[in-house]
Amino acid sequence: MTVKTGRRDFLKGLIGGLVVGGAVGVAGSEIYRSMIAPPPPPVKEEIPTSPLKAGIQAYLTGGGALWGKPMMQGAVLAIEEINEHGGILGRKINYVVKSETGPEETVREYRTMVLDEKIDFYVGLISSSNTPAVGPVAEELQTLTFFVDGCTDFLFEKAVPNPRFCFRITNIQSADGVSAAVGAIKLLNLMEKDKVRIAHIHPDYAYGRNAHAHMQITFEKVLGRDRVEVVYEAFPGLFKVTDFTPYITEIIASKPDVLASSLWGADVVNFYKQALGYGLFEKMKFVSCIAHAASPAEAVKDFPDGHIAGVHANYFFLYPEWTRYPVNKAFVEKYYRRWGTYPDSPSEGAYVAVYMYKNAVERAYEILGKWPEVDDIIKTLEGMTIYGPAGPIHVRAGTPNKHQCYKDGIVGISKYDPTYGFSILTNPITIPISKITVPEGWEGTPDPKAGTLAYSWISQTWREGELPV
Amino acid sequence: MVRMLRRAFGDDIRVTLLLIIIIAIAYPVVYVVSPGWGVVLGHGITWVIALIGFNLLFNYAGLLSFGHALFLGIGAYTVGFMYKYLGITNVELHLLGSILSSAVIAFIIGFVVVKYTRIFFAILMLAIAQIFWSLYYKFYWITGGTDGIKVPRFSILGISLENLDFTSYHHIYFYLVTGIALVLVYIMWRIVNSPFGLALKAIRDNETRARFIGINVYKMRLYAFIISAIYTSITGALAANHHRLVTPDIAYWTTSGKVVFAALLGGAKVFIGPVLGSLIYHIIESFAMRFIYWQLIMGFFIIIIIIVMPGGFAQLIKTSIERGSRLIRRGE
Amino acid sequence: MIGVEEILIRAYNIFFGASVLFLISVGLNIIYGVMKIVNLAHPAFFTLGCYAVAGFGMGIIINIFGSSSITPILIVPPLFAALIVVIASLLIFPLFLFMSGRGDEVQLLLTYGLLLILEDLFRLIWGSEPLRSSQPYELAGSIYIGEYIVPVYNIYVIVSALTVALLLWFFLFKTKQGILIRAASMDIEMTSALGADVRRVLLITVLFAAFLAGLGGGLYIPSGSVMLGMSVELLVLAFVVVVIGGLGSFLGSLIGSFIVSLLRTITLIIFPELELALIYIVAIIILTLKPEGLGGGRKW
Repeated sequence: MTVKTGRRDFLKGLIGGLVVGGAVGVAGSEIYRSMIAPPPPPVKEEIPTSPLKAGIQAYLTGGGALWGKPMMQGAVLAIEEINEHGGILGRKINYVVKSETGPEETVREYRTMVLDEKIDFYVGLISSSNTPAVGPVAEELQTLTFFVDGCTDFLFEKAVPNPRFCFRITNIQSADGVSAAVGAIKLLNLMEKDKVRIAHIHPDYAYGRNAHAHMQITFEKVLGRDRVEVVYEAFPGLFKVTDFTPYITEIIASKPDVLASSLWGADVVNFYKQALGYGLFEKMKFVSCIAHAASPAEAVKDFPDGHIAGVHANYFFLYPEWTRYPVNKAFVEKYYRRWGTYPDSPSEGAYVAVYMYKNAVERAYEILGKWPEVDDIIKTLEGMTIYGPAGPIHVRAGTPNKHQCYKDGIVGISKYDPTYGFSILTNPITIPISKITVPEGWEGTPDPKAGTLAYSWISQTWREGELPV
Repeated sequence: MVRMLRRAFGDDIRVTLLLIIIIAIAYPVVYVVSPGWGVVLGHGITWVIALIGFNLLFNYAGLLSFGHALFLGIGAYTVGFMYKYLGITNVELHLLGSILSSAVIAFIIGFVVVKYTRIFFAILMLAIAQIFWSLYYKFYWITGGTDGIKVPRFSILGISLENLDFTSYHHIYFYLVTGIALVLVYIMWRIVNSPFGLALKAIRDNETRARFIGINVYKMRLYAFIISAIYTSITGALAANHHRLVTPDIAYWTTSGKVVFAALLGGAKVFIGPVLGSLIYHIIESFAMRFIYWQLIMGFFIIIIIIVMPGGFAQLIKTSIERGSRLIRRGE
Repeated sequence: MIGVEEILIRAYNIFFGASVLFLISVGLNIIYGVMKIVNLAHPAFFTLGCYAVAGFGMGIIINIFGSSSITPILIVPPLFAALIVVIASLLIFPLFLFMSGRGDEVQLLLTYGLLLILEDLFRLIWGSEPLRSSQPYELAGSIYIGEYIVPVYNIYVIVSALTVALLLWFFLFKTKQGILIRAASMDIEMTSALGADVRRVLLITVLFAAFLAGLGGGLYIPSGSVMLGMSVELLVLAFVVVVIGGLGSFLGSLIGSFIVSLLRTITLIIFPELELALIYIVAIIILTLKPEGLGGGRKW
């Protein structure tokens, strides 16, 4: 007898086969996928809904207000933005603002913020007298603390050598003087001169002395000690002198090629306005490591063109260029819309501090599945790099200078820009921060007179007559 | 009891010591409610010593000094140097060191300065205080300049306090200072009521007559100056341990202004005044700090006090007690 | 470095510094001279003058006169400042009345309180940032002294201070009112017994001192800036001037201002580190050796 496979049977078989095969295929690939796929995230613990509290401390009065106010504004902008987008993992941030003054009172206010206001984290401080005072207290009271400035090397090299709770956003102070000197050498082609006569004027306190020492040693190392001659040095008291004319005449009389200065705030404004009347800027090149760093609309309204403009090795609102780097463009626009002025170094620093906290909390939450403890946040911060308006910024995890943040600095040439109505920084040179600061793992001791590791590192490791960047 | 209060309120040692003891008892309660205020009380007691010392000069010897921050600075920097160069954290040695350094420096300075009175004395003290301040500032590689000298927690009787939590540590500090304050206040009371103290008052009231009686005006003033300096520098040393950082600000002339103001606030004319003043001042300052316009308030208060109640709070309290006791008596 | 030009430049600076110091300290001396009051708040009047111009005065003046007419822009601001400070001193006058005749401590403390109040009022009204008002300074331009450039405005300040000094001298020593004031200062009781209204004398003195301080502030501000804490810094300087020159002496103000300015310039040339300390040390030495100051212990 003949078995005839009818068309119908064939079709039945085919369809059946396809169905079964399809099912097996789908099921099999799912099983396969689940074998190689990561496990589903752990069940997330409930996040508290109570708001967070941030403590902000800034100079609201006196010569330092040119820095303190923008600092506070940067932090507040960040907090408002975050709140607009729902807060950190749904938790809004409330904040309290206190005044920064002398070390004793500043510490007292800090204590009040921690003990009575019960802040969750802290963003603040401009003065290098205050960070070494508040640092140990922050460690003692176990509060996550982001210093925006107060960049003295002393903080993490002597006052708090093994920080747990303190972090510092701004580049370390020694980088300020070094980058200004390097920038000056490059932009003014000082390597081509036979002899360079240098005069110095710095405010008489830790920052000024630090800037002086590091600018000087950079000039000596890179140009060679026999090429450099110091013709005059002066250290007027910080915010104590309103009449710089005696200094100005002495400086002019000593006929330098370059005047190196770390005068800032009200001092640099007074100085340059008075110096204009004496024609100082036609007789030498002024190298300011910090004049353009804060409140440029007030501080450098009619700053003379063609001199070296420094931003405390930090940020100037035009760079990184907006077309290339949208993060900066967005920040500048939002800041201008909120405050009516352009952001500067302290604004950017405070803004980044708040976002650093947010980033760390969110990352830690992703891994742990619950709202992170302070130590989890700290561990997440260490070694982290985030992209702030000034560019990438890295938190050092190792020593020396643990918990110090690092970002590339810029130095440029001053030029009045009518669109803005004040002097801006042009022809920027980026100074790679890794080339001018003590790297992780370097072992050495701070220089006894200058007081910093950076000074020792430069004296011992840089070769004379050579630019390190 | 009320009669005793009424008669000798201002100058009775028992009332003064009682006041300090009351604060000491209230402290732990206050601290639990608000640690920030507990720290404020700590400041208050620490400064009692300096103010008592200041008032010896001001009220009993008749010399107003606008430069007493000088000695606060000496006390503080002695502690700073002792730690920085000798590694010493023992609070007993700190105190001994400040007593010695302030005595020596006060002798040298007083030698010259005590010849002058009134405005010149005030200005001279201001000028000398400013010199020291500018030296602390300038010689930054010794003094740390504005970075200051960081001082770790003190050790007491050789026992280190490094590993304690902040609250326990602060309690120990507070009671240590209270104990020292009680002792020093009592000693000052003995000084003020001794023949030496009487001689000082005689000089204050009428210098010429005092000389006629045979009092060596110059020597008496010098001794008062030195004692005042020692007291003030002890506060400086204690404050250095409280803040754990020694900076030039403690020697700046605005700190001298605080000393003067607090003494007036409490009532410089009576013995208990400076004690009251220190406590009230630090409490007000804590409030006003939140206010931002602190100087406005302080200036305003100074003027009000001088015009309306020159005897300060002590006088205010005394008048209230008198009025109160009169009411009670009328009711009897 | 000892050419004629170098000396001229240094001298120019010394006189400028001395002029400013003189304008600050002369009012202090007048108040002490007449009323035996040490007014710690006096430098705050100077600062008030600065704020009056930099805070709103210059704006108004430029609106009225336009921004390029030199003469009004040079002359009006100091007068404006002086006016504001005089008005302020009228409001404060009752305090001075209370102080007169009372002990030193009372005066020192009251004026210290006043100083604190004024400093915070500045912050309340004008905020915490330093203020500038440099139009007159810029308009006046610079001139050459040999190869050195110097701002012309400073010459104007020096000339104004000299004029004030001369007028003051004339008033004090050659007019009836002035003689009366000097007499009042030496013996208040006798003067009132002679029929002069002492309270009126006090009022004139305070207004006068305020006028001078305000004028000084208005003159100074275009060449620098005004900021919080300045009164306090100036107070210390003013006292050094007064100690060196002699308290209560008009001649002393001149001498003291000149010496302090001279010392400062010399120190800056030779040993810039020691600047502030040296001035204080000299003050102490003079106070020790010659407490009446270098004015010679004169009453005026």
